[in-house]
Amino acid sequence: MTKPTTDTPDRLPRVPTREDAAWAEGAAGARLLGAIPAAVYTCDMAGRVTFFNEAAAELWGRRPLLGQDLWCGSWKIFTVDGAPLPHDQCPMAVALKEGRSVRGEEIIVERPDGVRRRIRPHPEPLRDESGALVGALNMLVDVTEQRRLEEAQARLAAIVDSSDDAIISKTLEGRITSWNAGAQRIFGYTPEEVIGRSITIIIPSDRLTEEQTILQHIRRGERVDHYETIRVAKDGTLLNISVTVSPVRDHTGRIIGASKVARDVTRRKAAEEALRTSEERLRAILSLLPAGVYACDAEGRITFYNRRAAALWGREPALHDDQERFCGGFKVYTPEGAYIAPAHTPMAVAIREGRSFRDVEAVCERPDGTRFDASVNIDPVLDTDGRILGAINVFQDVTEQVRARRALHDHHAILQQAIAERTRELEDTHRRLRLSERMASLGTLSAGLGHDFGNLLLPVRVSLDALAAADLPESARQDVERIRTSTEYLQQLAVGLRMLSLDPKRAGNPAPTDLREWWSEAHAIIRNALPPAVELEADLPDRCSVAMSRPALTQAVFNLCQNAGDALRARGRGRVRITARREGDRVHLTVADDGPGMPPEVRDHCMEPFFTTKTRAISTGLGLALVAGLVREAGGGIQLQTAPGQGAAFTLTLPAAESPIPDPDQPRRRALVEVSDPRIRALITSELGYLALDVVPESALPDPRVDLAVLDRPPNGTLARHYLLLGIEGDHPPHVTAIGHKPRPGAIRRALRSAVEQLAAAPEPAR
Amino acid sequence: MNAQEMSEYTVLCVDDNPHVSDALRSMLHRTPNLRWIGTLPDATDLLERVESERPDIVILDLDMPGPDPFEVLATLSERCPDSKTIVFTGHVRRDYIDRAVEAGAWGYVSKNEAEDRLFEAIGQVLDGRFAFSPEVRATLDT
Repeated sequence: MTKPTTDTPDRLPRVPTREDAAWAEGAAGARLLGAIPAAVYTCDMAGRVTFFNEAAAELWGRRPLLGQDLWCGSWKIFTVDGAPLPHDQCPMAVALKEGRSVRGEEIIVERPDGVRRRIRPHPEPLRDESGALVGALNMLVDVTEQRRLEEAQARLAAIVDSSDDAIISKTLEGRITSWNAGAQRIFGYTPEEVIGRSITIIIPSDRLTEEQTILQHIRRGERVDHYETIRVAKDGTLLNISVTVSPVRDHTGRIIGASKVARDVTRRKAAEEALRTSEERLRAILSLLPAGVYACDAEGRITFYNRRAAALWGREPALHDDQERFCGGFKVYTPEGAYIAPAHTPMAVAIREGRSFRDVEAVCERPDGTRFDASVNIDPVLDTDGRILGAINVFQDVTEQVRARRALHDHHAILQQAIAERTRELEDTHRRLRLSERMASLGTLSAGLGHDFGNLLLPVRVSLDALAAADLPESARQDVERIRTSTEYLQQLAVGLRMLSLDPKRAGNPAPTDLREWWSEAHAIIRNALPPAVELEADLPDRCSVAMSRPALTQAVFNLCQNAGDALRARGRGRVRITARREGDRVHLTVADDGPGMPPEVRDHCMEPFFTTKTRAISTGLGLALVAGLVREAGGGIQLQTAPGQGAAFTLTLPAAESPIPDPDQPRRRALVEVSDPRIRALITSELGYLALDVVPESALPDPRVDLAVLDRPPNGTLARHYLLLGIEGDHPPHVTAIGHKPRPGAIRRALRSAVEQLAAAPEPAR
Repeated sequence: MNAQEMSEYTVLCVDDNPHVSDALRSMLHRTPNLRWIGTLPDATDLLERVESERPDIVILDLDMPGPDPFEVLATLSERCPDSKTIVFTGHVRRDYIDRAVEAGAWGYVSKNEAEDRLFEAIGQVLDGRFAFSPEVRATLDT
């Protein structure tokens, strides 16, 4: 009998004998089969399990009943496809029924606990010596792990084969042991060309040392990760590759080689390079931009900013910093000055909502406290799926533009105001013009009236004089006196009317107006401004003059009295008082009435042009405004005191002037008039007398004690000759005024006034 | 001609208003030393009349029909400087006053004032003095 070998199932006896079976059934055989690590069991001719070893029981997860379980001790059997396989169709059943060995079949055995194992059975018929079938022996080889490894390997191989990366294995000496399709595609060599050769065939000569370094790492069991280097293809092309090299160990863990995954990154490198160049160019352009540019990522962290942005911000914020979000500026405000928190800046909104912003204005503050006006344009950056990746902000310093715009706005406002003022002035002028037209008409009228008054009243007066001189009864004499009084009043009225009609502005630098003198002429016309039952009183101090022309003063007081008259008209009776007092270099002239007074709203506006409480038909509304204008032109002011029920008092504060009426107590200056034309001499003498100078007779010559000498301008020679002739040299030489040939009266008056003013500045009169 | 007659000054009046002329004549008759020698309604014949009668004083209105009184005055004062003209008018304006003085007037009196002013002016001019009535003086001041 041949003892069945047990090292591998394949070496089991191919032709068992009865002795074999008997042996197998024998205790020694059973012990032997029981000791082998492979699962073994036997069945008799009928398929009954007659023996199994411990390895079989462990594999099945159960112990079949000998002589009862048929074909197999398995709990359940499936085909490799997962279909249930009846026990009587299992390979053992086939072997027994057909009397042949079954090989190459694989089944799946399920244990009672549900664990499945993949099994390769090796049923072998057992025959007796006559060759008759007596049963079968089956060895079950558990190929579960083997199949799993094979599948994994197959998957790996498929992966390796299908990988775009070059996957190469090599020995520790650098000899290539595998070479996948990716390697062939990248480097151009077929596996046949390179397997067995040194890996250095793909290493450029100047990088051969790299391989040694890599192998040293591998020998130490270290992995080389994503090492970027250059390798050379079969056709000599240099390739940028990224290499990962890992040690390969055998089942004992010993390092026996290296696997290398190489990826051609030439294109990626080129793309990266192109991107880098492009980005650098972009950055260069952005740096040169006169606008500030910065970018944020989706979290608002600043990823880029140009120099201009840093210059505008006055700081250089950190990049990719969680603390520097949405804006690199120190602080941001609205144009109105309200603080904007970083999370509420337009940039933050753009990133949050994916919105664009155009020409948004904001005020940016630098760390040093200075501010600038910024115009901001923001666009979100989206990926191809529309996800927000961040945003780009382009901002400009528009401080000057804003300033200019504000200035323009201000100028516009000023211009509008100026236009409004000019319009008002124009309207005012227009009204004044109409008023002055009216006044001019009045002037023409009063001039005519004056003339006619003169012509008409003169004969009346003369006749009255004649009558007065005649021997008349007393009653007739009284009548004559009444007529004479009325005539005088009419005469004064004519004078006042004429003064009222004169243009006060044509008076120029007015001669002083003595208030009492003025009143003697003006009262008749001013009286006419009041209703008959209203009393008019004047209490004016003696020798009190104002620097205002008589017509201007008349017009001012006339208008004030007219207003007072209007206020008193309803009542019919009342009193108007004109008083004056001097206070330093000012004279306060007050026109007061005891009328109803003015409520505050009238008082506050009554001096504005065109303000009136009367109907337009009887008032221009310019009366008080005209008064204020006249007084202002004279260098004075106007005040009003009034309250309801307490009358109204207008006080004109006017610059005081020296009285034109000579003070009899003052020593008079002396003048000599040496002018050949007797009429001119008489004119000059008359003027000098009016100017309060004593004119000494020619017989007084030579008399050095004159203050002023008025001489003919000599047709030949010089004034010095006159000095000699006149003998008026001395310690106090007189002021000399020369009068030309055929002098104009205006010129004479001006020359004499000028001379007298200069004399007035002299310390004292000549004695 | 007695001594009183010898001291008489003759006065010629030029005024288009007969009431004024009559009044002046009436006054002159009542004034010693002044003799009324006639009246003219305008200045047309003034030069001829003055040259023939040589009045001491010519009282001249300005607002009259006929030739420009200023021009006539200028000629008159040049040809007959001894006949002194006093302008007597209701038009009291600085430009009129200056033009009259420039043309040769010795005085300027407003008709709006009391007629005494005219006789004061006549007295002053006869005395070799210049004469502005108060209203005229006031007008020159303003």
